[in-house]
Amino acid sequence: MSELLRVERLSKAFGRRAVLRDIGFTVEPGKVYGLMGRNGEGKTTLIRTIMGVIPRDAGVISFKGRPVTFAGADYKRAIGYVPENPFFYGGMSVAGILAFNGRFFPKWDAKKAASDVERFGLDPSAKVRTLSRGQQLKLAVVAALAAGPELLILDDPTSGLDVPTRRDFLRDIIGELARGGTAVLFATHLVHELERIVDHLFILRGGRIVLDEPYDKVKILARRAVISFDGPPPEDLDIGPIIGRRRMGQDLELLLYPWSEEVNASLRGLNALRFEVEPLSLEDIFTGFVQDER
Amino acid sequence: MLIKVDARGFVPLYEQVKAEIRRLAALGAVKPADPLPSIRELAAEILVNPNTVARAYRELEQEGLIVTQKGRGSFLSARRAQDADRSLEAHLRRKMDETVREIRSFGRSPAEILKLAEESVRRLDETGRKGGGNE
Repeated sequence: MSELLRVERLSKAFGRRAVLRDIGFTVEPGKVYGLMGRNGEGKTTLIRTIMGVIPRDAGVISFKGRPVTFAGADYKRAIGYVPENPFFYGGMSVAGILAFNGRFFPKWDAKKAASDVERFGLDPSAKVRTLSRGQQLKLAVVAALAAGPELLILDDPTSGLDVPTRRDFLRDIIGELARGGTAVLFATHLVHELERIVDHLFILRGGRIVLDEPYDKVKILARRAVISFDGPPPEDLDIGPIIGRRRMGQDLELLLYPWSEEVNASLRGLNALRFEVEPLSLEDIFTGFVQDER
Repeated sequence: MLIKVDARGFVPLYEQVKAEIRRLAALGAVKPADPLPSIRELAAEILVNPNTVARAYRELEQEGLIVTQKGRGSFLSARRAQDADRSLEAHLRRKMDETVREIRSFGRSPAEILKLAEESVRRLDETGRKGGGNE
C-alpha cells in the first residue's frame, strides 16, 4: 500500500467565506510534499482540518485506506504535527516537556528525543520561556519526531527565522528523511528551503489546489519568455498557458506552464523582433501561480 | 569530495549530483575503490533530499560507475575507473548530450544547434587567446 494520506472533496467555510473548496490530494510514504500558497490562502486551515483541530464542512480524509474519524488517538499518533506557533508551558523545561509528551505516545522514543535535543543544540534543563523562536521550533520538531510519525506536517515552520537557523532546520529535516520512510508535508510561502528537498508540489490558491505535480516535471515544463516587440506589446496576446505576464517598455515577459512545442511555435509565429526563453525557479513558478495577471 | 548543485537551475537535482560525481571521477578527484560519502552524509552536506542522492547513486550504479555493497557503502567502480579515458569520453559525450537536449527543448533545429556550437567554440577560442589562456 503506497498511500498514506488521502484527502477528497474537502471543503471549509468560515461564515460565508469559503476557505477550502473541493480539495483533493494524496500523500505517499517517504516523499516531501510542498504545500505552497500566499498567506491567507488557507494553508493553515487545510492542515488544521486534516489534523481535526477544526471540523470540516464536507469531504473525506483517509489514512492508509481508512476514513479518519478523529474519535480515536491512532491517527494523531501516526502524524507528527508542528503548528505555526507551537505552544508549550513556559515554566517547563525542555526535558520536562518531552517527558510529559512521551506519556501520550506508545511508540515514544525517549532515547531519540534525548539525542535529538543534543543534535539540535538544545539545553535539556532550559525553561521554555527562555528559548528563542527557532529553539522552540526545534523543540516542537524533536517532540514530533520522537513519537515515530509516519507523516510529519510542518506548518510554515521557518517563517520568521533568520537564514542560518533556517539552514540548520533544513539540515535537521534532511537528517530525519535519511532515516527513511517518513513523509513530510511542508506548508510554506518561502521557497528557498523547499526547492532543495521537495518531491511534489501543491499550490493553493483561492481555496483550490491549482497545481499538483512532481517538482521535477514542473521544473521542466515551466518557462519564462521575454519577447521584444517593435512598438508597444499587444494587450491581448493569447498563446495558451500563460500563468503570468508583465510589460516592460517594448518587452513582454510571460510566465508559461506547461511549456510545449506548440507554445514555442506560437512564440515564433508572433514575428516579434526576438524572444528569449529560460527556465523558472520555484520562486518564479510560485509567483506565477499565485499572483494576479498584470 | 566537492560537489556543488544549483537548486535554482534548470537541470533536476539528481541529474546534477550524477554529473558532479561523473566529473570528479573523470578528473581523477575520486579514485577507483574510493568510498563515496553515504547518502545521508552527502544529502546533509549539499542540503538536498536524501531521495535525490539515493536516486543519483542508484542510476550511477546501473550505469556501472559506482558499486554499492550492503553495509559498506558505495565506491567508485574499479572496473570503470580502469578505463578512465573511456569514462572521460563518455562523460564528455553525456555533457554534450545534456547541452544539446536543453537547446533542443527550446525548439532549435539541428542546423541551429551546430551553428551555436561553432560560434561558442570560436568565441571561447578568441577570449582564450585574448585572456592569455583563461576562458
